[in-house]
Amino acid sequence: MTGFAAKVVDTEMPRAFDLLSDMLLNPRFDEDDLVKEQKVIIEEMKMIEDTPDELLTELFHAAYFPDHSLGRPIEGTEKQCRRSIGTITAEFHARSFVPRNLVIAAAGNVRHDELLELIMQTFGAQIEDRNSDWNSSPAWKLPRQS
Amino acid sequence: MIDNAQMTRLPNGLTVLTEHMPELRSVSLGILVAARARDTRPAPRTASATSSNMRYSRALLAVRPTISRLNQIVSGASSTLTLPTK
Repeated sequence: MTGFAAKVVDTEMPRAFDLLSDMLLNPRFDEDDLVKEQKVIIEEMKMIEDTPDELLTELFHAAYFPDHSLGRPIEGTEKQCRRSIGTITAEFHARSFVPRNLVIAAAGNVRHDELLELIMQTFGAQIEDRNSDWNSSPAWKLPRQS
Repeated sequence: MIDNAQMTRLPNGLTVLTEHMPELRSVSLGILVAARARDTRPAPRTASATSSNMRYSRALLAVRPTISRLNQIVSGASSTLTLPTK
């Protein structure tokens, strides 16, 4: 699960939504940025190696799930990271960041219809390009819980 | 307690969840993507981590959104922006 979240005063919600959706839908993946990010991720890998409880968790997962994705480290390996990952990252984004994998959630002084309208305005064009069937189904009221 | 919560599943699969709390003056907004390293093959794992981290880099470095725009939204509005990568 990857998440992007913001908390704003209610009057700024449209701009915050525009920012988040822009980050989600239109990443540039510039080579210079990717090289910088490779260094960040490799440093994160080293931080795990320097943190015994996290390292033990990784080793435990590797031993307990030897032939399963759960047994592999979240960040991947340094060898993978040092490869040119621009194409892989762009392909992963195009394949994974699709409507069926997205949940847009909001809580606070925002109406459901208001957020749907923003989604239509901000996401509409890009999502319609990928998926031409774009009609909202009726909102479903969650049962009240106490 | 969950009150005034609504969910819409769009035909393309995108899910929209809201909880209206009119007594507040703030909105917490999140976009969740069911795509992460734990369910990928080895090679895309780094891509997954990069993909999520890159959005933060892009926000700071790209022409759009600009740093001033980020400041307006994040600082000027007394708000927070969170981009978890785990």
